[in-house]
Amino acid sequence: MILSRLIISAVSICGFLFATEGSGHGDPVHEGGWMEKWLSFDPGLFMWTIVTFFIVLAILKWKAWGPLIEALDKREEDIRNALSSAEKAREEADKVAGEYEEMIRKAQSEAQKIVAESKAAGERVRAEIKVTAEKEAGDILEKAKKQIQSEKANAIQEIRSTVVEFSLQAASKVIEKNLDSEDNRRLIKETIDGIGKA
Amino acid sequence: MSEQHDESLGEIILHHVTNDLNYKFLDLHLFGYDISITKHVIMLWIAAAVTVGFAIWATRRYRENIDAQPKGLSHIFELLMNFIREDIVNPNIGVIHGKMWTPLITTYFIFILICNFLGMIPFFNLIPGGSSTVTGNFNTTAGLACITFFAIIIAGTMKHGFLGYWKNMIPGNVPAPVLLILIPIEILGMFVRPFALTMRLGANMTAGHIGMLAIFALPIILSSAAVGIVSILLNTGIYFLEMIVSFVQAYVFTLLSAVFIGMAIHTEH
Repeated sequence: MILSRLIISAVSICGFLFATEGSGHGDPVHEGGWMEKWLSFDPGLFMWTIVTFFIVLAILKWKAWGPLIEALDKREEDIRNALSSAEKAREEADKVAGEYEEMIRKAQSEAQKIVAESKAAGERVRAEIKVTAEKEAGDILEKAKKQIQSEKANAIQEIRSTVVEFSLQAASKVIEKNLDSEDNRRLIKETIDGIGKA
Repeated sequence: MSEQHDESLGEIILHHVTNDLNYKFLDLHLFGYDISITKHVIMLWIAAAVTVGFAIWATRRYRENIDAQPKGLSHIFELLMNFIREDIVNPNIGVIHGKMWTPLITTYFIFILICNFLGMIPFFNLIPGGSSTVTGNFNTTAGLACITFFAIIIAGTMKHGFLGYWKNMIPGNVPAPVLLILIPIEILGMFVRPFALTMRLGANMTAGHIGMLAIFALPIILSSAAVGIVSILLNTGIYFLEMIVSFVQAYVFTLLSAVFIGMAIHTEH
């Protein structure tokens, strides 16, 4: 405002100086050629132009340009801020996405490791069970074989003794003689043994 | 007979491009100077009212809400303000000093543009008292250039101080004999700049009107209807040309004012 007042006062002084100069030429408005008429000095219009322009300038600066410039500057600032925050958000998103990817990769490799470990453990358990089972089966078989063998031997023994008894009784009945001597018993036994071998 | 005819036509043309100082709407005097309200003063006020009206209307949203979206006329004013700041003020005056001068430069452009355009609307010829193009009058353009003249001095003084500004007019490292020539040239240059602004705008805004009126006078001089049709077509073209001239002259006055103010601030260039 001080500036405007300064300019107005300076200009009005200048205007009056010009006007004094102009008035020295007599009255060019009514006389002279067209050029003179065209270029005639008119202090009124000169002054009114300056006054009107400053009034317009003052009103516009106060009511129009001020708010308009403020709004434009604010919008520029807002856009700049929005752009930088968008850039920041993008970087943040990139970072997070990278972290997630890393996490997924880690999880996948871990899962693979777990699966592989489980497989190996299963394999081991299977092999152990197989070995144990085979061993147990072998044992059982062996035991059964032994039992059969001993049962067989027992049975043969029993049969033999029974056959000797029966033979003796039959022979004694047939011979009607006590053949319970040592020689006879040996003879018979040898005979029966011979039968068993045959 | 013919000469009288031409003379009267010349008078009519002159009447249409000058302000009739004898036709006063209100007779006013101040300190012995005639400051009567003539047609050009009326046109000046109409232009001022239109300028203020448009600008206030276009920026009403921003006064209520600083975050308002541009709409309709606000778009044009935003565009205008951006253009003046980015292409006229900032490159010539600089961003820091430009803040102070942007309102003045913007007002120059819009006010001169509206003055130019109002002069092209035939309706205003219904107001008696001469031409309606106020920027075609050298007193108006001199008034505007006078503001530039003092703006240059104020801009320089604010930046370099009162003495500093006048010292900057004299270039350093120059021998004394050269200074003898340079100082008058610099002082002359100080006055030539606003004088050139005055003449450029005034003459350009008058020339088109004289041209159009002269072409319209042709069918009257030649008494031919065919020439009349040709002159109407020709003048339609010139009218569009004049619209461009109106823009260009408002732009040139604005740009040169900014350049001169910038020169006073950035003396090293």
